[in-house]
Amino acid sequence: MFESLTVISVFCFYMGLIFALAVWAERRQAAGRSVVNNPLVYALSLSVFCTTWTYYGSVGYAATSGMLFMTIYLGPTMVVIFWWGLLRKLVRIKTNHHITSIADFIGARYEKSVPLAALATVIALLGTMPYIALQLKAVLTTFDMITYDTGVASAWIGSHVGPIVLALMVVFTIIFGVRRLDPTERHEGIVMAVAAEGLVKLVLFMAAGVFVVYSLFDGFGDIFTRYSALTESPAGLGLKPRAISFVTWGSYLVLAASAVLFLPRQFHIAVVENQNEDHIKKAMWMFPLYMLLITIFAYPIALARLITGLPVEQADTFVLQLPLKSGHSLLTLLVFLGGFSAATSMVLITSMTMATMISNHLLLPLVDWIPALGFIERHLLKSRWLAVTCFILMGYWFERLVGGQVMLVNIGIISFAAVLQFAPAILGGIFWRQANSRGAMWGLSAGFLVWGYTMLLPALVTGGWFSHHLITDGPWDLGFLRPEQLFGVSGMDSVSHSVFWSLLLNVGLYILGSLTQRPNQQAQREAEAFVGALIQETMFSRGGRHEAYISLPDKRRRIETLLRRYFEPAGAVAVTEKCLRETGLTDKERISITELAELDNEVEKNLAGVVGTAGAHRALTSAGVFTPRESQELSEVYGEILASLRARPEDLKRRINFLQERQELAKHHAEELEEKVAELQNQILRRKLAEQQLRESEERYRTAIEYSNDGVVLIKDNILWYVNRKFAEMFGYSSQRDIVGRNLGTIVHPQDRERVQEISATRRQGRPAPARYDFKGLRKDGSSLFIAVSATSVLYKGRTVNLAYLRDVTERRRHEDEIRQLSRRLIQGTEDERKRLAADLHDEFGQSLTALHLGVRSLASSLPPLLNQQQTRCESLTDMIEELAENVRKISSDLRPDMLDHLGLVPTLEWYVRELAQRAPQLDIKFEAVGFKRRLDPRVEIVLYRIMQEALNNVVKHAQADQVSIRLTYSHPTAIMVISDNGQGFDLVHMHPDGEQRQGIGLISMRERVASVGGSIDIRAEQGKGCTIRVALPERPPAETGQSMGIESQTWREA
Amino acid sequence: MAEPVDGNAPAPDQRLQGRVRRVVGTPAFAVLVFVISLVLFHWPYLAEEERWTPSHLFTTMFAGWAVAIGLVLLLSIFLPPSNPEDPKPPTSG
Repeated sequence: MFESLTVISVFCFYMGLIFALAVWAERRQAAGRSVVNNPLVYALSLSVFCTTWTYYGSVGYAATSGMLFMTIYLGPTMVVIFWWGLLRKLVRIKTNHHITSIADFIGARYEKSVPLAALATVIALLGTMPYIALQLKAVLTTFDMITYDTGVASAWIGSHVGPIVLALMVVFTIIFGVRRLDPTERHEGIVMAVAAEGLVKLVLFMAAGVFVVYSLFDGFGDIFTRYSALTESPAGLGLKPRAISFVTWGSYLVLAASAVLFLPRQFHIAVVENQNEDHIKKAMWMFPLYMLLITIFAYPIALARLITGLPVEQADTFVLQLPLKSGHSLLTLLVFLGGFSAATSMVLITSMTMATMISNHLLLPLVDWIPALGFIERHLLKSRWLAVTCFILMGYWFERLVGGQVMLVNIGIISFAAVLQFAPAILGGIFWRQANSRGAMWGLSAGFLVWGYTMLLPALVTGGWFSHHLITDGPWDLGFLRPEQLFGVSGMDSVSHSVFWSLLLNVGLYILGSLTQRPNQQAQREAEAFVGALIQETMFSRGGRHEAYISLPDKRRRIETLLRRYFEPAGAVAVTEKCLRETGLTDKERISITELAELDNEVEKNLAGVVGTAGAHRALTSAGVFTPRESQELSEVYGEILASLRARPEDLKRRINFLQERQELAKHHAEELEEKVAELQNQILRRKLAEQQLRESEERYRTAIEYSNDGVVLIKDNILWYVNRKFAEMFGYSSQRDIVGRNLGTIVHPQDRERVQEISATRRQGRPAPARYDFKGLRKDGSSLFIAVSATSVLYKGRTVNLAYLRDVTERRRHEDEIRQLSRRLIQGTEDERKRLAADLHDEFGQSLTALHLGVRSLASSLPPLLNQQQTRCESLTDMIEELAENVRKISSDLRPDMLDHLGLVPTLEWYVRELAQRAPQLDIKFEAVGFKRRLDPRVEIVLYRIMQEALNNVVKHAQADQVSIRLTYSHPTAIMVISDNGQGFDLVHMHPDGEQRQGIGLISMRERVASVGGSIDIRAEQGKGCTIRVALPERPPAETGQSMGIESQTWREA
Repeated sequence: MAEPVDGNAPAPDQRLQGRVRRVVGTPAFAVLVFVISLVLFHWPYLAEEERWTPSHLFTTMFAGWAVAIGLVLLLSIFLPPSNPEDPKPPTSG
């Protein structure tokens, strides 16, 4: 709870902020940097639709009528779907005719009818007065609810809160909206203020909703569950859809759908204040979204409060009571401020609009009617201030009259039903050419009277203004005139009943009146201007050229004189200048009748912004801008134009249809062209992108190839077709051009030329050829180098060419040869050392043992027989010496059998085989030697011996074989030895998948030994199928075995 | 490495947008949205469902409302731009 003074102070502070915002927006407008001219502000300003009725009343309505409250927002959602056609047309008409209000619109459409505009103003006045009352009731009720009075000031405020709030409303309305006359009737400041207040009330209402749903309860589900658990609906509230009549539902939808455009404040914001037709597009979905957000908590809040047991009679204030009862003071104050915000924005716009309508369509016609009141024209602004004050006071009076007995929502519905009466006149006016002032007058009058009788009167009865007998029995006890059962129609609720009768009579008489009156020229012009607003052109563009004989200075004086009645002298001159500028007549002295008519229209439009369209028309007519002759001529021009329109209706219709079809076709073609252009642009873009990617890719590959450390070559028909830099550098050429185009043989040493060319040709023909091989290359200067090649064939431009990567391996080969030489020397050194060691063992150690043996035996024979024990010891020593000698001989033989030197290879091998047979009796060894009639070179013999020794050791240790055969053949000048076994074999590939480096030491040793004497070795083994070793050695090794780094066939590998 | 691009391939998004514009940005589509909204907002009546709970009702109505707003958003996106210089009607002669 707060003191009254505090609340009033907060409110004034808040309004001060809003006013500052409005002033800022106006200054931005003056500086040409409008902040209001954007769709978001436009959509937010439309939220003026959501007043305290929404803020407080929606919860109250939901608590009493269930989901029926949603119709107030669903109706507008349904009608915004057509806003692009409907609202845009209204905006276009407003722009073309300087329309300032909804009454002005109706008057302007129907021959600038003053009575019609006045009638529309009266309807709007009486229709919106309850709405003002609704706002005041909400504000005053909630103010009382949250305040208490302790001090003198607060007590005084508390007892005068009504007048104080009224005074504040009047002051704010005048300051914001009516502090000066604006010919355009556009107020960026006030629109900004309304948009800001729309945002404030949305945020604060949602804050209240979040507080109730998520703080007092555990979310939506919790509320619904607890409500369903109630044994009895608190007041039979009609929360089920069946409780709401379908007719009632539909009636409310219709009422809300019309209200969103035809309430004076809605028309003002949506139409008059619209600055850009394209803003409508975004407002079409933003505005319904706003309504959805601001109402989404209404129903849960209503249920929440019913669960807590608050009386339904207080439903209008549920949203404020919940935080108040929960002791959340700040939230309570903010929620109140949101409600105040909703009320002030509505009162502000409505009062401002109504003040314009009252002054233009009631007061000024009255001045014309009663000349003594002419002074009012010079005090137009003050008269509007008075109108604002009176209007708000009337709303307050109505609130005092019926507010205590009627819920907020019911007051609002009265207003909705009133403005529904505008719908036929406005919709018919922009879509039906034949509609005219008679129809509009009949329809509006009838609808208004029926509304007053069936809706306003019952409300006044409820307020005690009339006897309740009027409702129950009808006037003069005429039952068929009962306001809520007119002509005996019953079964509908009072709202549906009123909507039914008022709309029926309004539409019926509107059509009837329009059909029974033939429109005059002016009426036809106005109808055409409104119905064809979106395809409008000036009538005078049809009229051709006319003689310029009218004096412009004279007309200018008359116009300025007229404008001085409403503007200051300087303002009158400025408006006149503007009109001349707009019509392009500034520098002319004489003008034609059509130009005068255009100038007259322009002046009328500008004056309409101040006094309304009907008032402006009336003023210009009375000002005598046209002389009788000019009027006659203008009438003739109109006649010509209309005659051209009417002369051949069929032709005209056909032409219009034809042109409309052409327009559609052109539009269709334009769209197709637009698509094609977009497609082409897209294609160009994609192509550019592809080209760029191609260039980048080509650059990458070029860089990779050109700067590769390997030589790259493309060979076509044995011709070097492309080479990279490295290739040229590798073969000693200064540039690639020097070598491209030459024969492949140019870079190959004669030693390998034929082979390399053959491989190249084989690959080119698509036959299997080695993918990797080495060859000896030839530099430009004649020096040689060793090249490792990796080659493949590729298809290029439909032909097969060879692509090869070359690497200079000269250095590597040199190192390999050096290693090989060292290896051979090591082998030879080892053999020599073994030979020396064996000789030493045999010659020195053997002889010593022999001498020792003889000495011991001599000693034993010399011992006397009595020394048996010593003799036995000597014999034992003799045996040990013999065994030692045998072992020494064996070791010597293992190191190098001396018989190899003395008896030759074959006997040595036979001896070795015999020895092995004794050690491995399970092995059946066959040895055969053929063709050996003379000794081989000792180096060759030792190699053969070692290979056989190594091979047989492997057989004994690993092969698990039971047969082995050795065949030694001499075929001049080569000795060939083949060793085969039937053992388990081994996987040669698996054993050394990466080459020789992974082979066992035994195999490596064999290869090295064979290579050391210039021979070759072939090892074939397969898992489970034994092993065969074939060694071929020359009779005598070459002098420098392995010195040449020539190509070795065994290094070739098939691809 | 970038995949090869066919420069002559049509731009599906552009073509689709044009087709959608021709369908969605029309008065007929607006009427369709209106009819859909009418059905959605009257669903509790049309559904012949006697056992609507407040929870069902609330969810149905607001979901239907959200769908309608989504359709209006779609419609508004594809509406043609407003042009005060719309084509003029034919002149006589």
